Amino acid sequence: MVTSRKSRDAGIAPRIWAVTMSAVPLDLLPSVHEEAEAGARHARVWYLLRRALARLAQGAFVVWAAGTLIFIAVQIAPGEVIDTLLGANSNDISLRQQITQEWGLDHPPTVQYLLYFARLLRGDLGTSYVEHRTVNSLLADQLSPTVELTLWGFGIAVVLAVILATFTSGRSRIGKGISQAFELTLVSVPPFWLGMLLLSIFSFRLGWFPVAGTAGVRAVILPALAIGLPIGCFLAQVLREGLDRALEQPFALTARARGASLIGVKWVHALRHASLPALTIGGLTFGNLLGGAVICEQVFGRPGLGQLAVHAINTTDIPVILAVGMLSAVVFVVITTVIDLVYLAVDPRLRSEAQWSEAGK
Amino acid sequence: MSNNSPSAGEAPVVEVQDLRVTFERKHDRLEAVRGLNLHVYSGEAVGIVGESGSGKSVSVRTLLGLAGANATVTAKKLDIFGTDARRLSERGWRAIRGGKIGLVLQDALVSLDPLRTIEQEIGETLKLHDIVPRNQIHDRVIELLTEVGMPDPELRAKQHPHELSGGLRQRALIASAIASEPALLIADEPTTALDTTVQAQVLELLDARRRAGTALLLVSHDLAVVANVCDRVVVMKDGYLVEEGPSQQVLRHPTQEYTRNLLAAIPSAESRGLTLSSADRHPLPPRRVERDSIVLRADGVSRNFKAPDGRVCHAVRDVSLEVARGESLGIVGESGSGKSTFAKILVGLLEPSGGQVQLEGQPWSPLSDKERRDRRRKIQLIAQDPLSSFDPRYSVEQVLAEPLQSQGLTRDDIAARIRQTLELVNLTHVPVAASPRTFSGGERQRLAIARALIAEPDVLVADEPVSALDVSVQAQILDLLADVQARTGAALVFISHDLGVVHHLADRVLVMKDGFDVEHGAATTVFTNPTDDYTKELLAALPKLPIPDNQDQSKP
Repeated sequence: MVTSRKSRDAGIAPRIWAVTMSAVPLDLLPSVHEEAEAGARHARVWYLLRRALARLAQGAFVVWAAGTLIFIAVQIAPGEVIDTLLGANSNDISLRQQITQEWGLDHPPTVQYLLYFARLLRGDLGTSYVEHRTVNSLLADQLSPTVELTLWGFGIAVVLAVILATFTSGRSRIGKGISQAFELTLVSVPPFWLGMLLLSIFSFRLGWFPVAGTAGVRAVILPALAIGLPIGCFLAQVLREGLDRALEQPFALTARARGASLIGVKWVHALRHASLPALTIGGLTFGNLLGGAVICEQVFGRPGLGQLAVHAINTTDIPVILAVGMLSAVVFVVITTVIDLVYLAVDPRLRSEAQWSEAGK
Repeated sequence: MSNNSPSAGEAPVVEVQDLRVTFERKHDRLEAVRGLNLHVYSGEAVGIVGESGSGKSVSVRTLLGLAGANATVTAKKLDIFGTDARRLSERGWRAIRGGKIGLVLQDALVSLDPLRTIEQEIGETLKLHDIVPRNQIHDRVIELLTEVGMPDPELRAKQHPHELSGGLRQRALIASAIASEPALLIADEPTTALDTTVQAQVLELLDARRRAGTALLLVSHDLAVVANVCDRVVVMKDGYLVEEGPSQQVLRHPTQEYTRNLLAAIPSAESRGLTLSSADRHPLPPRRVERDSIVLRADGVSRNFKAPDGRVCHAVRDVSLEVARGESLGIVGESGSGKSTFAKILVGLLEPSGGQVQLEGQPWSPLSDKERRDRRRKIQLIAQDPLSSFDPRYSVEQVLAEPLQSQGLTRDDIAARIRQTLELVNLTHVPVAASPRTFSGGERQRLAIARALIAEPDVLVADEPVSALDVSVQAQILDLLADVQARTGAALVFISHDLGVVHHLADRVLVMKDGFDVEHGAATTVFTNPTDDYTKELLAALPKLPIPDNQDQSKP
């Protein structure tokens, strides 16, 4: 019974970093004796450290692979590499020479590859030949509105999800049905439409919020709502399913039998269990937002990474496109690593999950 | 129904008359409890016995106001500590739960929140009822852990449930239930997932609470457990109260047919060679043991597993055995004894790290799968949970046809074999196109046995095949296994933690502990005259039933 429940959990939470459950039945594990306890703790610390190092190595590998793929894509794009990089400025002779020198295009591809990675490691993402600025400064300008929007939007989503899920889980079918209808509506509404709806009501009609721009907190509320409401409703569904499942577990009955109220059991016990699958999905959504929410930025006339990327594509600004791609890869590596660590913090069972394998014969 | 409670003068802790609990479901209603009468006095232990679906768990949860959101509870009388609980508000219930009544459930691995420490879990009761000031919670938790006999309480308080053994977890769960010193302790199958020796310790702990004056309401499927702890016993079936009275009286002189059947279904030393599935036990069909023909032989088999940190676990260490054609060999051991690993090695699902296994005198393991393939059918495994060993999309027909695929039989031959095998296991009433998912536990286990038998094996290896079943269903399956053995002449290796079951059916026994063979020999010798200390400890820990007098009278 225990294994089937665990595998069900694992199936619902699409783990980025699958921690495989022990293939050996629990009754094979030796009982931990008192005197061996200290040694076992020592071994566990080592085990966790090894896993953390392996995780970092994997993250580094993904970043390297993303960078390499980007490099290969530029190399095998139709036409000369220099023409790809020049984009619309293909007639500018002096720029052509500058790029050839910057990218080492007069050297063989292997040397170009090494030069390219040396620049990446220095944190130099190159120059935008369309904007005539370094990519770093372009990114820096767009990053803060994106981070601001992401944090606000995600914050709204989490608060909404927790409130909806805790108040409607384990309740009558009617309350749950109403909430689910509300969630489904918001999840299925296209984000630009929701954005325009919010704008027309709160900015044009009521005049509570500015129509466009990034000035102050008031400017971020409506776009954050447009992003946060659908995500919040989606997370609420995941969270409620987890809460309902946790409330069916014997420990929830034990807690009720201690005198805890239903809402108390949800807050103290069930929410932590339900947060595990929601963490994975929420983390990936967070990463997507950091990569830029272009439609929302467009509707609310906000700058941001999404706008930057679209503009770069429209103007064939290859260094900027490459940089945005690289940034997304790094963001996802960081987020999946963080999710993995949070999993370890939330579920102590993963910290001591022993994986037994065949010993030497 | 006599009432010889220790304190008949005072009011009972709980008094229930004509309790009925009905669950409203989508299309129908389920009457889980239909007219239960119950009273418990302080210092008294009352047992509620019944099989799955008897309504015993729902009944005690009703005493906590936790029957369920869609349950309708009615009663002529539902007095808890002299208050009419039918009128209790949610706030009133919450004062009773954990405050005046403590609940201990089965298997603390899931009954304690696995994400919280032992201290947080026990502290929750203390906080909810404001029993001690916040800054004294830690000290009180340590006191409680010491009280339930937890070794090294300071360390254990910081640990999570999965870091404790089953017995220690259950002690922690009991500590959280008694934190507010409730006047009534309800224990719902508190020892069901535990090993026999640990079960004895936990029962002793509960009994100590009762001796200290707490009323104890013990729910169990196990009559022997109830008999050893409880003054009075209530037998339930399908929500009805079947029989009620002092334990010794009910178990020695059961007045109801159902109770008699239930008692007769319990395998033990007395039931050797007799059927279990009816109150008047018949002799089992004779079985021929060909002592000279050894079908399965293990020589010094060992098996190691390695942890990621490099520690090595010796699951099986130098175990040998011989099984003769038609013989029943029981392997007994508690969790972690290596018995399941050994079973897998015998069947050839796991390679031994050392030693070897021979099947009918030929090398069997270690051996490549290719060399094993054409003899695979000769040794078959029956698992504890058959459903998870069936392909969930397969019908009965497909489950049974699978072992025959490689034998080059025609469709008609296969259909005939399936029919014969289903007859052999008394499963002729189910359509062959049905899915095993719709089956009851007993039917599933019959199908699992049929799948093992259809390959016409010489050896059946059954790993805890009846552990998940109700006593009456277990009786039918054990009778079936004996019948099948008599008809097919197959040898049986029966692995179980239940000494009673093994004593009932095994010719010879092998007792395992920590991967070692600690004792082996003829079942009657090992069970009546054990030489090893561990075997003695196991036997001493086994809860024993009083021998029912009716049983002796009904025999000619």
